[in-house]
Amino acid sequence: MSAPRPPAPTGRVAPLVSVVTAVHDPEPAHLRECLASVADQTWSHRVEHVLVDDGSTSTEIVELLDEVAAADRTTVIRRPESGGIVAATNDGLTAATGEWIAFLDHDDLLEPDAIEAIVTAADAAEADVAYSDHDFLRSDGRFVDPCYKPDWSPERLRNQNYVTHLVVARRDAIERVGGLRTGTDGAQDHDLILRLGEVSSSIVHVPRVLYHWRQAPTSVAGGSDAKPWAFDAGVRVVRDHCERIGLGATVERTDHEGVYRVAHRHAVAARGDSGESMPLVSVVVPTRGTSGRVWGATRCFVVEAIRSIVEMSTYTHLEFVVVADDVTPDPVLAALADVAGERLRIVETSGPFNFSAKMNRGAAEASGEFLLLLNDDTELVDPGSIDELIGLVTGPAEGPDGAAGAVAMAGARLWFADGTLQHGGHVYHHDLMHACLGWGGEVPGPWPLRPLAVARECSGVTAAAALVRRDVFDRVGGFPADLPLNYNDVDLSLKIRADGHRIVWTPNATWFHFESRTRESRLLDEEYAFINTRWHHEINNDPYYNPNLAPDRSDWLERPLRSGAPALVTRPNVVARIAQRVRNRTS
Amino acid sequence: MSSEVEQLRAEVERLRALVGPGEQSYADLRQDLLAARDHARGADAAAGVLRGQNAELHVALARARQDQDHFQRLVVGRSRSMVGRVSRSIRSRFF
Repeated sequence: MSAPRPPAPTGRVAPLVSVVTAVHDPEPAHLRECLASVADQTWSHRVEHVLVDDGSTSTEIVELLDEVAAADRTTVIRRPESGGIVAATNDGLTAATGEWIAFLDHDDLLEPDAIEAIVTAADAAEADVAYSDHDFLRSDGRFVDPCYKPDWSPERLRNQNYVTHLVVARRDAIERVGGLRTGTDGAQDHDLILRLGEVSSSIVHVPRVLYHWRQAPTSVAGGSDAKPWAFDAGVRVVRDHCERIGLGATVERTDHEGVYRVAHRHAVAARGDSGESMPLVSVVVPTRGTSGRVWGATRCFVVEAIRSIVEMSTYTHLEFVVVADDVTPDPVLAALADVAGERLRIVETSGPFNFSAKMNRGAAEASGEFLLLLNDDTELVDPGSIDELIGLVTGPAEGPDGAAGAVAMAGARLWFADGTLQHGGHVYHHDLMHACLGWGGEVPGPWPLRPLAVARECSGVTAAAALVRRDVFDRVGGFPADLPLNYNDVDLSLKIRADGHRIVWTPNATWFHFESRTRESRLLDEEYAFINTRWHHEINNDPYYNPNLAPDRSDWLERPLRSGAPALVTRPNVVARIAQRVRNRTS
Repeated sequence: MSSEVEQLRAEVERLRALVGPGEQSYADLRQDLLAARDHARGADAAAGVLRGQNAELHVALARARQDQDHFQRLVVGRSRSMVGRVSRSIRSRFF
């Protein structure tokens, strides 16, 4: 029996935590390690382990569970025959007496202070749900591929169960959603966290690897071939979630395992089908009518940017507000009129180049419900891009009473002329960066979370191609005139988030961006000083990145000395010691 | 003067030979231009694939270097502590 531990740092007695584990014929050695990792928790005096034997046929497992049933704070429930993980876990939830519930698979491991760390953090934030980072336990006993996750991201969660393990939730929150839902086997954890997100106003992320997910050949952690039906179940649970929150969307699997395509565009289409007028989108483009060479041919950038939308876009209820410098050649204006016809509105400006002032002027002249902020050196790639972006910003506010906010701005994937990535969402991690700049345009991004394949919340997006709700743009005051060249989109993004909204980047809306072909690229010191003064905390603490990732980088590279390397050397021994201790105890 | 006119006529002939007098020739040239642009775009994209792989490899290299650095520190640290233990043990026995 463990010695009594000190009370929780909050000053009150540590709450009782029930760790629920459904057991069905795991490797006996793996189950022993799993049991040991719970028994050896720093809060072991406040942790009960509820084990549900889901009709195991292995004699060794049955005997092992018989042995541990006699241990303190361990409950073993027997199911005469296997009913699946959902039924077994629900039996465990019924038997659990803890204020908090943690979920642990029968062959996985917890860090020794996992329960203490995550429950303390959740309690301090008065949250209903908390989740941590996790890594994988390879068959050779080494910890690999840490998943360093973002803070609570409802849009991303629909597109990918990035949360998985470790999840703890208050028992009353789980009871409110009715426990695990029958028929969701294989995606029951995704279903549960989606439903918890719908009823919980506060969900905390603990940026530490507290859970080690074993890569067994039969586990999803071992690859998608292990349980292909799990991802089909994932499609169903996401579809059900969309229906529950009133989000008209289709859900499909993608080529990337565990990543779903949630197409919101149907929300807008439904509006059209019901006879309501489709929302007008004002495409606001600043220009001075510059021409240049792309792919070996000379083009007038603004004309081709607008032509690509006119000729390709599946969304057609558009107006084009071109904010033209007084130096813009007349033939360019004539060509624009030829391409866009009556949908064109020219706003003439003069004076030195100030992107912010031009865009604000264009927005003031625009009459659309949405503003598509667009650079003139772009070209539409995906015809459905504008539908996609509108779908994202017309979704409902998430969480109870909209606690997690609605999406007010959505950014597109941008490619350089050679198809490499120019914009994959902003990352503000001790610098202001585009995620994975220069990576292949179609690659899913760094393993294991594949951020470039997923529509996901970001701290900000570039204004080179982004759709923003007009009312929100006006409320936050548009772009800052103090930032004529750089970081104006950073400031706009952070103002929108500070106003309680979310910003989403999507790989399902794509433009070419022939970056800075139409103006001189230079960075003014005073611009950085401005952004650093106004947003110092925000540009050093990106909630959608992770503090375990290396600073000044945007490629999800782990911080030095946090790469999981220590686990490679030391942790198997720790595991062996814990396993030995539990063997001694149970014998 | 006449030689200049002759030269200009010759130049016109040369240009006509290049461009052709009819709409068809203009259309053909335009097709050639578009095909050349598509080739340039394809070549740029092919180079982009390689550049993208290069960027990803740089990250993999950075990760490998980082891990190598960590292991080196680990080995050096452990070696130092082992050497310290051994030397303390020897000193305590013989001095």
